[in-house]
Amino acid sequence: MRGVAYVERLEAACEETGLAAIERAVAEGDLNRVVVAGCSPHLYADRFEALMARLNLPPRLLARANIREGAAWAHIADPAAATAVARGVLEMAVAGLRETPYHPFNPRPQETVARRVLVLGGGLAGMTAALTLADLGVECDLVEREPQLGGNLHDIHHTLEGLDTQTLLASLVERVRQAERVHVWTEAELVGWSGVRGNFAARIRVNDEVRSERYGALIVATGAEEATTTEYLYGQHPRVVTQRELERMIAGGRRQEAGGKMWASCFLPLDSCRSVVMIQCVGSRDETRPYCSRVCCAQAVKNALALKRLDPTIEVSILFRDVRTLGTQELYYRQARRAGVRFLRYEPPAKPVVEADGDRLRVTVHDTLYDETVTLEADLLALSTGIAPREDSNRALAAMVGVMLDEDGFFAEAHPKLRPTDLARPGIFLCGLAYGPRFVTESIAQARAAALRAALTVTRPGEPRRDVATVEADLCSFCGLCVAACPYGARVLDEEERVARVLDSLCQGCGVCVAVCPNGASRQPAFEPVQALALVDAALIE
Amino acid sequence: MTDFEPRIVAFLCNWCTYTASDLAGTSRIQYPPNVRIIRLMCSGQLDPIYVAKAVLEGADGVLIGGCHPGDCHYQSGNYKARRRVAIIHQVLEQLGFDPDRVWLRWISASEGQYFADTVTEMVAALKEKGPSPFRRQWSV
Repeated sequence: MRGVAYVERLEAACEETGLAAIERAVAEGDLNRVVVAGCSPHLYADRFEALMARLNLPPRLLARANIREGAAWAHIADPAAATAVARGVLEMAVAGLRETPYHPFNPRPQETVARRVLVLGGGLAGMTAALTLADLGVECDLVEREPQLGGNLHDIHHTLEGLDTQTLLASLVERVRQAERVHVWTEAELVGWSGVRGNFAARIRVNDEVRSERYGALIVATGAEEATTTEYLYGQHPRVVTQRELERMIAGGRRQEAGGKMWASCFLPLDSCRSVVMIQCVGSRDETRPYCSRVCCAQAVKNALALKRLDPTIEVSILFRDVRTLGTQELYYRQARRAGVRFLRYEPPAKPVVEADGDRLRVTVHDTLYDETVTLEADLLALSTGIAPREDSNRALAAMVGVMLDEDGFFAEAHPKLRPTDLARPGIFLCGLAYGPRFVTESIAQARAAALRAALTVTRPGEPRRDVATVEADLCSFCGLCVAACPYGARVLDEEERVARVLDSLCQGCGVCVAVCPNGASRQPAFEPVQALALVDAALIE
Repeated sequence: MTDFEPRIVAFLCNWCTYTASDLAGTSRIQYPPNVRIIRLMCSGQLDPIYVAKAVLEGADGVLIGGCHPGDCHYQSGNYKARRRVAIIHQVLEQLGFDPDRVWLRWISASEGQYFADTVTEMVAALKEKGPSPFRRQWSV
């Protein structure tokens, strides 16, 4: 065969000894292209790529002739035919390689990765992510819309398991403020975003001034909020509150103080409350908000137990649809029952009816377990409204950075099982309530995971990729066909230089742009058209 | 005519049909040795020139294998291939070349048997049709 300078039979080319033999033969014979005739190119590709790297040759100069799956095995009953096919396959591999240019077109400069991460949102998840990054030695900017850090954590006073979240909050804020590698910008907002993994350009508005920054990765930790409602006299009767407002009242009652912005009824002295009713799944698990908010059952049990601890004679009734105290939280549900908290089950469409009875409230509910209609006199009604996404700002942010929301309005992860902290666009990660309802501990775990993913993105050097497309600038006519054809948005027109460009980190190497280019300016070094044409030639040699 | 063996050039998508051909081999599913396989990353990578070259050089048939519609590894490459093959068919007809010699098939990675069946079927169909007219003309 033309061009073949050396042939060696190896027991197993992919094993140590085989690879060493190839390395030796190439070095000794001053060879510059290698054909391995053997198994399918889908096997051991990484070993041969590593081999070429050791030989300091571009990996595309090694071709695989698939004579096992493609010939020996497919025609096992007819050895003569198998041999003929194998010979043909080998000729094609040699012919293709003969036509593969040694010098890549338009060698691309090595991408530089910005070793800096932007964390959006200074709540529990955002602060945890920022501190994890700082501990890993990565600089990050923490951008918070509100004047103070903390977000929703301000309204959580302890967890069901007894973790003092206010102490946690104080220590987090303290550590974030002191961490050298964390730069905090409050009352700031992301207003512009472009670029690709490892090299994003951001515009951030801080105090009416817009700053331009470069980042290697982004962590979205923008949170969510307690849902609001107009049901059950909420907003009309001073003794109707949300679970979160009740939690604040309990904390205030315990500490004899009440701080921050709160609704008038939050000052309601708890000692005037002899009977408290809670309603679960308010505005949740229906047509408008079909998902379960995950935390409200635990929150109701937490508040019920807290009330019982303040005064065991307070009557607490929880009107529920299904109690979902997750995992070992079930123990607290049992504890609540033992403490005398009553659980009454209702089922839509027969929702509880709440009427004002002067200063007090009357709650009528059909208990499906007793099959009786029960009327409860209440001094206080607490509604479990659940967690709602910040839909407008989520949508604006998703559009800006180019990711998707799920049908509920939270950010949609790239894959629920395999990539739960990644967003679909490379280099953008997700944690906390922006992802959906979750507990404090879950937010912390996910924030650490997202921080680790982001740290890996910015600390690893940009891996050389052999399969991406390139543009030979001299041949490009700036027609934009490749931009229209690319399914990944990896093609852009450079208005200044008047050529098409490839965004390497978005390119997946499908070669569609090569096929549409009328001038042959689009190139894929591993799959050159001359190579394919040589293969066709070789395939048809008699 | 009886000992005519058609020559088929196959352009197969790396992710589905090429893997199906591997699977056919691994499973020892036998198919006629008349096909020469060229691996592309995606059926959408197929430049019509490749088909034209194969036809002009006397291939009796060209097989293009891609992912099932909606399953493209690169989102939409197979749709681009489908449109391109439709145009290739028209052009070949103009040239007086039977467009039924150029087959586009959706064969997923798990369909080794279907790949072997397709090749078998195509070889039989081409035997029926006889050698490519271009082969005769050009080999004078």
